[in-house]
Formats: sequence, C-alpha cells, structure tokens
Amino acid sequence: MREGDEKFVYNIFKRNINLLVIIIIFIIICCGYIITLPVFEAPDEPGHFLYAFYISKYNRIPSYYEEPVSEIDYIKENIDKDTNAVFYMDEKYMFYKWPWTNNRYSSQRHHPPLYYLISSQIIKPFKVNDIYIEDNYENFREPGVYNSFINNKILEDWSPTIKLVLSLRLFQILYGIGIIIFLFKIIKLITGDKLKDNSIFLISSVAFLPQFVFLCSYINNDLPAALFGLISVYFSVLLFKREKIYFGVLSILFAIIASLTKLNLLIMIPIAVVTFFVWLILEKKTLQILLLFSILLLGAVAIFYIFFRLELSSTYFEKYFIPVIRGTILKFRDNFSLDRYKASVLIAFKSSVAFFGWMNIPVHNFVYYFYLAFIISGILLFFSNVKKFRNNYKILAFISVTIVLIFIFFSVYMVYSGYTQHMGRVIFLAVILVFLLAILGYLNLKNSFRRLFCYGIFSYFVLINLFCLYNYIFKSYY
Amino acid sequence: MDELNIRKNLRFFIVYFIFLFINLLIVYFYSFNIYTQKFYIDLLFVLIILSFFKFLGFSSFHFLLYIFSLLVIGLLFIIFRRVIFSNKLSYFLLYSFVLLFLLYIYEEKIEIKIPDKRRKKVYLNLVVVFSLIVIFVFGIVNFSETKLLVYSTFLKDKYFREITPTAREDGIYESDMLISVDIPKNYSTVSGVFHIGGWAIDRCKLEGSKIDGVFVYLYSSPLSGGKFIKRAIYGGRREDVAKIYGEKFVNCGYDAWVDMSSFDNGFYTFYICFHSRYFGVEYRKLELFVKN
Repeated sequence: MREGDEKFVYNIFKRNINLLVIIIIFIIICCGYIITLPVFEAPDEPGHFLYAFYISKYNRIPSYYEEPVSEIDYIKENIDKDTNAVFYMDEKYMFYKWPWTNNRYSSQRHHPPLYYLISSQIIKPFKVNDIYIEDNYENFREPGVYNSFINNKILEDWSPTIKLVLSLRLFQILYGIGIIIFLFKIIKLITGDKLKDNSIFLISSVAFLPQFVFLCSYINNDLPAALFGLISVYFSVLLFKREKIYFGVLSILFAIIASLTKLNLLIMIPIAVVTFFVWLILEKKTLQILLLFSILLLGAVAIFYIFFRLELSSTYFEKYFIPVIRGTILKFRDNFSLDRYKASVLIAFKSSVAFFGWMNIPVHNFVYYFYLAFIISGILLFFSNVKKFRNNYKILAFISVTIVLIFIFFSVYMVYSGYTQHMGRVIFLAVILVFLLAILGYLNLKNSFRRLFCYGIFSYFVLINLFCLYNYIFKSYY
Repeated sequence: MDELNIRKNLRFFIVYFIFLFINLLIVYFYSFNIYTQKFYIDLLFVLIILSFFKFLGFSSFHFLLYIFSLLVIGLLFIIFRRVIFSNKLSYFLLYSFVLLFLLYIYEEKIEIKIPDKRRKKVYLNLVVVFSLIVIFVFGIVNFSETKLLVYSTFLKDKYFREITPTAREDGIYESDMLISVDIPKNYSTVSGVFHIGGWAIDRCKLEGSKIDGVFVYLYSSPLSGGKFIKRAIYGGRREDVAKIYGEKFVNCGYDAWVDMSSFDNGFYTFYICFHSRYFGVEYRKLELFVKN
C-alpha cells in the first residue's frame, strides 16, 4: 500500500458520511447471510472452493484434463452411509464429480486462475490439509424445513473446512465494497458536486441489489471480475477527464486482470484498447499510437507463445475453448430463435436485478418491477436532461457502448449455454453501468423532490433487505 | 416550502386515501381473478389517478408520496405472506413509477407553456376519457371466454413446459427423470376436492438414486415463491410403467388430493415438483379452471 492511502480512504468517508452509512449497513446484511448460509449450499460454491484449496495445498493450478477413472469404487469405499458424506483425502479424487453433485456442484476448473490464486493465499495460513464435504442438499430442499443453519450442526462441528469457507466468503465483502466505492467515484467524476449529501443514497440502489448481496455472500469469481471490470471503466473515464496517458494503460491492465478472473469479461480488453486508441487519435498523439500498437502486437505474440508452450493449453483448448466456440456456432445454426433469445435476455436481466440467488425469498416479482421502474424512470430523466452532461459526451458514449458490447458478448455466450435463471451474474457489470446511467438521471431532480426521493429509496432498500435477511434466518417458505 | 406544507392541504389527504382504498380493492379482487394479466386495467387506473391529481392541482411530488405508500403496503403484503397481492401491486408500482417521472419531465418542460385556465379543462377531459375507456373495457369485453379461448388454442403449447432430461451415453451422473401427470388434463375444469395423479421415475444408473418426494405448489414454482399446498403420496403401484421401464420401477405412482373448495372460482396454475435424490427438482405446470 502506498504511503497516504489510508488518508485517501479516510478522505472519501469524511466528506461523504452517507457513503459510510451505506457501506456499514451493506456489511451487516452481507455478514448476516455469510454466517447463516450453510456451507456449500450455494450452487457452485464447492467448485470454486476446491479450486482455491487445490492451489493452496499443491501449489499448482489443477489441470482441466483429469477424468474420473474409478470414482464409483472410491465412493463405495469411502461413503458414510448415515451422513451420506465422502472424505476426499486423495489428490486424484479432489476434482471428481460427486454423486449428488451433478449439475449443481459442477467443477470450476475451466475458469482462469487469478481469483483462485488470491483465494489460495487467504486460506494458506490456516494450514488445513484435509477437507470434509457434507451433503446439505436434502436438508434444505425439503418443504417445511427451516434453513440448514437452524437444523444442522454447523456451529457445533466447527470444522476446518467451514473456517476456510467463511474466511473466503468474508473476503467477498471487500470486493463488494470496492464496487460501491468505484461506482461512487465514477459518478463523482462525471457530475462533480451534484453527488453529495442525500444524493449519495442513490448508490444504495446498487449496494442493496439482491443479486449483488447474493454475490457477496458466497465464494465466486463473478464479483471480483465485475470489480476489476469497473476499475477498468473508471480509468477509461479518468483518461477522458484528466487526459493523462497512463490512465489508458491502467485501464487496459485492469481489463486484462478482469478477464483473467473470469472469461466473460474478455470483452473488456478490446473495449479498453479501442477507447485508448480513440482517445489517442482524438488527441493526435501519433508517436504514442505507434508505440502502443507495437507493444500490443508484441504482447499478443508473447501471450500466444506462452500459452501454446504450456502443457495445459492444449487440453484447455480441446476440452473447453474449442467446444464452446463450435457449440455456439452449431447451436446458433440449428436452434436459434428470436423468441427464445428475447426470453433469455429478459430472464438474465430479471435475475441480475431481483434474484436472491438460490434463496427462496418470495419478493422476486415485487423487487423486480420496482427495480425495472427505477431504471426506466432514471434513464428517462437522464435523456430528458442530457444537455446538462454536455461536457461528458465522450464518457457517456463510452459507457453506453460498453453496456451494449457486454450484452452482445453475453448473447453469444447465452446461445451456447442456453436458458438459465442464474445468467444475471454474467452481465452484472453491464447492469451496474445501467444503474449508473439511471443514477445520473435522478441527480437532475429538483432539490425538495430529490431529498424525499433519496431518503425514501434508501430506507426502502434497507427495509426490504433486512426483511429478507430476517426471513432467510428465521423463516422458511417451503 | 410549499410542497412540504401538506398539513393544510386536507383535500390531498382525502383524495389520497380514497384512491389508495380503491387501489387496494382492485388488488384484492383481481389477484385471484383470471383478468390478472390484463395489464391495461392497472395502467388505466394509474392514468385516472394521475389526471385526477393534476385536475385538483397536485404535483408529481404528491404522487411520489402515493408511490411510497404503495411500496410500504407491498412490503407489508410480503411480510404477512400475501405474495399474490404484492405481485399484483407490483404492476401498479411499475406504471406509477414510470408515469411519475414522465409527469415530472412534463411539469418541468411543457406544462409551463399551457395557460392556467386551460389546464384544468384538459385534466378533467383526461379523467373522463380514461373512465369511459374503463367502462367500455369492463362492459363490452367478456374476459373469461376470451381468456379460455386464448389458452385452449394459441398458448397451450407455449405454456405447457416439457422438460425431460436425457441421459448421455456415458451418463451415469446425468439426471434421467421421466415424469407424467396423468390426471387432470391441462386446462380442464375441476371443483372441490380433486385428484392429481401420475407417475415419475428416476432412471439414473447411480446406486441409490430415486425420486424421494412429490410436492404440489400453487401460483408459482417453489423458487419463485409458490404456495406449498401438500406433499403427494408417492409409491403407488403402476404395472403399466413397470412393463415398459422395468420391474424395479413398479412403485412409481403418486397421488394427491387437493382441496380447492375454499378458493374463488378462476384460473389457477399448479406446479407439481419432483425431487430426485441427487439431481434436484423438476416440475410440471398444470393450469386448471376451478369452478366450485
């Protein structure tokens, strides 16, 4: 950390006490979910966790290539009939699919390793060698049964596995806070003094977004990817605002980091690079253009060379990358229909704004329509007052194009993987940017109207989140 | 602060409570009704409120208060487990919210240009026009027949969800559930206590795989906040299924008796959920007309 960084953080909160209020409530809500969510209840949490655990234990990245050979025999020997649990002691079996985990607990080995490298360093100090995985599935799906925290013996069996999982989950909150702060800083850059006092409460629309709280409560790489993507956007905005060349380089760097965290943010690299080029062309900096072009060319060659030299790469390409591309093209040719596409985009959007993940909290419809109304109205206001942003045309064009490109990139991905309710995570960065535009719209409201609106919205978001947390801990809708 | 000085404005409170009351009445009566998906009824009602507010000289600021009260009421509905009401209210909320800000933009940019004397006339005319449209819609269109016709012809295939997971060639770990809802037929009419029956098997090769529960939900799927009705009795003898799929699947029938006698007549959607031991929940949608 640089000298004076503490002062930088302190300054943000000193001037914007309302932001601190939002973050404190956000932390309380997230901690509530983190502590009460039974370990591995989230759909793909075990896959993410095992990836990080593998690196921390063996100090290397797992290969995508390992296939189960005699898994059934292994399970037969090691399964505990009473608890329906299996001890995985052996490296060879660590990534095999478990019998009850098909589809739900899928392996996450196809992801790029950056997030897991960071996570492995967090869990390394615990020095845990063997993990225990219990099947929570039947307990929490049964109708009429309260959530597993009440029924299970998680607190009694404070096993090392749970310690590791909780520490990783708590780390997710930091990524979440990062997103809130960078969103705040981007809006502040665009609007200047308009975002102060009660207007800051508009940021609570993102901070208490159900999908956002959900992503902050379990181990996943979507959230850090969205954070790094947002930082890349932040530096691009800074590039237009401050006109310093190194912001462009930083933007490209964070776009690369984002795509190293999750591949669906690969689109951020061309966005950052093209933005930088456009800025250089607009500023007529010929020398820098040539320099950047040659660096990019060399970088691309170096990356491809390293990638093909690695033993992993061939299996990765064969098993994941090529099938995805081939599958996408084939599915597009054979099964694509506009109706299905529209339905999937709508579902993805719905899930990204109002889906409490796997949690069974029946406010989806109500929250969804409220958020939909919030976004539509905000964007209406934004366009009706677009002249007030005349100094920031370039930035707003950049943000809009980024949103559109992420949606297009997501569409290709969606054609391959098909209809799913949890797709919202994939376009989460675009959703944050859509909210950003809506918030910019609301900042143009008249003073008295804005005051009532901001306080009302903030208290409502807090109320509904506290209610959902209460329901999740003490009630059950099954 | 003129806008905040609402204590003196008794007129506003009277109008506010009258509309809120009517709004809740609509929510209450139409939540169970088959007209629920007629979005224009909600939209028209919001438009009537808005034009009436403007006619009486209230601004978008007042309408914002109205929306916040809708938000709180929606939350109360959820807290007291009346999800169906909150779902209905959410449509009102969507239209009100968007129209509020359209009104705001209108007030800021256009209203100033219209002379004061004309304004009242315009708003009164709008109230009359919207009310006439409502009367026309309610009087002329026979909803139940239209709805039945639409459901039984155009939407039938679209609405009936058919997902049967297929096994891959090496598919030991793939879900292979076969499900059938034999009675009642989709879009049929039922009354009082009726019988839902059929069979379900999990053909996965994995040892111990089975279907360990069949549940009936109303209004929506379990993950989307459907109402749990009851657990079906699973394990009935089905020789016909056993003949085709093997003797080990002979006890695969399920039966549930659902009591709808206390419900209003109307169109209901049931979700029959099948829980496989290893592969999660599959469900079938069953849409029925209840006529007691």
